[in-house]
Amino acid sequence: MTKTLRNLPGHLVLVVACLAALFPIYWTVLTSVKSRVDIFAQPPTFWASDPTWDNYAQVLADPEFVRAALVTIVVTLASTVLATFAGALAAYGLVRRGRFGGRGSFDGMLILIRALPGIVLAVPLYKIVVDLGVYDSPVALVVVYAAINLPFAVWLMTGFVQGVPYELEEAARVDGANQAGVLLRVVLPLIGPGLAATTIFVALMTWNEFLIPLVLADRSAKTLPVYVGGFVTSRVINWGGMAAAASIAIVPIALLTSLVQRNLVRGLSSGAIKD
Amino acid sequence: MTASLTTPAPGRVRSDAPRGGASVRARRRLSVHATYLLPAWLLVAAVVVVPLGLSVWMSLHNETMLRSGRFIGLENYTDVLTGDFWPALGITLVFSLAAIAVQVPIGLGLAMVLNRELRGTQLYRSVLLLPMLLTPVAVGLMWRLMLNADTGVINGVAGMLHLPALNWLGDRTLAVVSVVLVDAWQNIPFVMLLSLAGLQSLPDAPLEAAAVDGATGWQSFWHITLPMLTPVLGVVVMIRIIESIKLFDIIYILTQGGPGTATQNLSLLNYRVGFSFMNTGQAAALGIVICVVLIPVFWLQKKVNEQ
Amino acid sequence: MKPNRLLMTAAALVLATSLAACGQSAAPQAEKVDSLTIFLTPSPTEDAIKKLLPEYEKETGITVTVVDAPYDDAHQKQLLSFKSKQGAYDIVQFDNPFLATYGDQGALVDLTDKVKSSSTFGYDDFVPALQQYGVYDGKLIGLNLSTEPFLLWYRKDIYAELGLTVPKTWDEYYANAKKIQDSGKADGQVMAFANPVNSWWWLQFLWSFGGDLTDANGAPSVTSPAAVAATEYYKKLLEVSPQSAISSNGDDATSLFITQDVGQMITYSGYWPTIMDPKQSKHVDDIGYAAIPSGTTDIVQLTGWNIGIPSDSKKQDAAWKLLDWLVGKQGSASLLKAGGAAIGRNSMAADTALVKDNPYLPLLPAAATNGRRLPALVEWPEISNQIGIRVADVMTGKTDSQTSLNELNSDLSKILGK
Repeated sequence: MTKTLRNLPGHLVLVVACLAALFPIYWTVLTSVKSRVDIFAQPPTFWASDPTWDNYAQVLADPEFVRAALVTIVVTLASTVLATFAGALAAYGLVRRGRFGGRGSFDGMLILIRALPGIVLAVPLYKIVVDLGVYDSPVALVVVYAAINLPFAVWLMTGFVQGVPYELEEAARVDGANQAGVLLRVVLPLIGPGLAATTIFVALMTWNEFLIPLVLADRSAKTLPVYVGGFVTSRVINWGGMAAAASIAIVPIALLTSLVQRNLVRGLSSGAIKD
Repeated sequence: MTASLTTPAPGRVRSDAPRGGASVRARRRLSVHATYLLPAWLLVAAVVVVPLGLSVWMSLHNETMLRSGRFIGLENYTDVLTGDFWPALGITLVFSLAAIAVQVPIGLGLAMVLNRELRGTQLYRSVLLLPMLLTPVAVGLMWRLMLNADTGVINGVAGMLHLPALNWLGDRTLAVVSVVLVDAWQNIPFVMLLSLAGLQSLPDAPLEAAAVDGATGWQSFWHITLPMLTPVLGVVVMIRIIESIKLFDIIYILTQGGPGTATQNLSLLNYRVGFSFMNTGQAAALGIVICVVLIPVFWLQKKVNEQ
Repeated sequence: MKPNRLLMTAAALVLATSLAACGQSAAPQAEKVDSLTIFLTPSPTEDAIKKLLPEYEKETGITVTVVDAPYDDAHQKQLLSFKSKQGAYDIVQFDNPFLATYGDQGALVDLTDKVKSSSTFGYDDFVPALQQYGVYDGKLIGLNLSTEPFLLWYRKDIYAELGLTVPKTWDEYYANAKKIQDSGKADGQVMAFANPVNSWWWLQFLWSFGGDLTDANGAPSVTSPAAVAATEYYKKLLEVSPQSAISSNGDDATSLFITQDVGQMITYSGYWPTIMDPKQSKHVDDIGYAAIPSGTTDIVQLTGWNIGIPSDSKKQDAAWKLLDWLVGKQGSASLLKAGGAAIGRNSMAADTALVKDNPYLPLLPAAATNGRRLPALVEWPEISNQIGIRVADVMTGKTDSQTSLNELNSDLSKILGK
């Protein structure tokens, strides 16, 4: 009884915070099932008495939406694998080899990618991509996304690799395993949870990336964020359609993250934070 | 710029280098780059080294998206520095400082409460993480709908409570507040998540000892938890500073930098010059200038990395 | 008779050989085309075209793919595709101010001969101003996809209740707005005030008050008393507008007019399908419209989409056939019925059935004759952006009109001087 009372303020804080977090999401979903007149009704209505599914029908029937969804899935998967692989490998090299020539310049590059606004790179990248004839190609997006997320992957994975006892690797080598074998059979299983956490973070950032596809893609490589952003123009804003597309775009990544969010906290606390 | 010096020919050295010997050190150095850093270096070269080099070249020419230009020396730089650059730099700093001031206390506070493992914590945590999962573009759009001074739900609710209806996106100051608010809504969960991870990795012993000594909750937070958490908070602050400097999506959707140039930060200005006005030479110059003004941030990031 | 026919045959032969010599344009056209790609910009017209296309696909067996991009990015993306010369798009929809940029690049095909020789297009069906609407440097590179002068929209119920009449001058327009605002029943008026699109509305006032962007020598002239008066007037209107007008673009303003209580609005006729759609508009039965008021001049800003064929398209013949079907005499009417913005054809203004549903049609050719277009300059995006910022600075109270216009004047010299 007293314990419940003591915990009351805590619960109160969390409930208020949850409401603040949920309300805009609720409002988006609500907007997606309202008619256009109701969207602008004042005073606002907090419930759709007569929900319409037109907006969803319209969005799902749009071949451009389907294409954007497929492109986003493929590009996210490919670039996440690439960034995580390159990042994990680099993290291993950095941890196990410590100081070596050229390390400073490598670190410097990672810092540059991490801290530079995307647009600074996007201006010359645009020119390169156009000149190479890979403008509007998913491949260009995969490479750029992977590079942009590389620092984060290296940073996260460094913590996990540090957690692998070096003695285990030595023991495997004594047993005659070569370096590839050590990496595959000893290191990989131990950094598994870390790889999972890194993958999810990178996938999340890739899925939501807006500026790069806005600049480097047009039609064949248009991604969902750009598609959703397309509902706003200087002449027409289709709020209902936008809300429907946004609601659909949220689902996969929210599902994925809620499935693994327990690992996310654990992964972060044993990885990045402890180093 | 140093890529050519340090990127080895692929596949030159396969196995782990042997120990000892004079020329071995050089080979060993190659080996690290070739074996473990090669994929990373390739990505870095393609997306940073080459583009930034090209940026320098572009910035010295008066090229546009439609035509290649001729060499004009530093004219693009003088154009940039006499244009909208300074106000944009100012507003970028404002967004960045405000992000820290708003997001860190709230995020840390929520993490502290979550860390008490009250009943239902897992559910609370799932819900509180949601905003950070949403596409920033969608976040910008829905807040733009909600913040509309006449038709938005925020003023609608304010009206029901007899509060004044503020012109969220139409007033120069409030538009800045709105951007800060929306950025905070989306990113407090991230601060919370990292703080929570930090809290959970702290050892219990010092806190238990303090409790035995009769310290109040506030005292043990101030004198024990906070100092132990400082490294984590340093990382969090660093990430948020960087991300808020890079802020683009939310502004692009929510205010387009307006009213006037009240919310036009460096990212948006650079986008405008390069892609709306198609003035690529000047946009490249602006990019280089941004690199230069961000040097303190790079340095800070380096310090945090070394910590 | 006979020599005549002989001559004609000879001419036809010469024409055929010269066409074949061009090769590039003739050869691909000989091939059977089974697909076309068209680039549109989100608008009621795009929706209408999408509605009509299946019919064309059924008639011809050609698959038509529609690609779109938001207004802010559309032209940049189109320009890029022209530059790469891959023939990515067979037809593009573009806004009139980009005529200069596209024309300078030689990006679009001259359609003069095609429209003149077509029996179905009806080029004579336009008043001269509209025949010239897509002409740059003597070449017809853009057909009219819509004709959208500014119109005055008002609420008949509010006018009746307050005993107001349709304003003929901008002074009367403001006086009406003030009375409506003071009555507390509704907001006085609405239009776009958010930059950069505020530049379009501000230009209307500049012209109405007798000013212009540049003087006879091409030097910027926005420090003139007319420009100051126009800016002051624009600001005065903001005071009798809904609160969010300051951050409204054309669509936000229209949303306010059709879902809230606002007495009057100045916006493009192209918003008709939205304003009169009972699904979107609460006041369909109470909405009146008229030509916009005048100031010291009676200039009306004339906008409207163009549509053309990129020079790098490999299917120019098939593309022309689709355009002839889509925006020719017949097609224009179908487009309107499908919910698109109207094209200002004389035949449509005279078609009683069409006019019954779209009573503003007769206004279009007339408005086009008084009409003035947005400047067709390569630098237009930058100019429009700069106007938008300087005008917004006045609207938000950052500076006064004269200071801001002085700054705008030097901005413009800088942009035009490059």
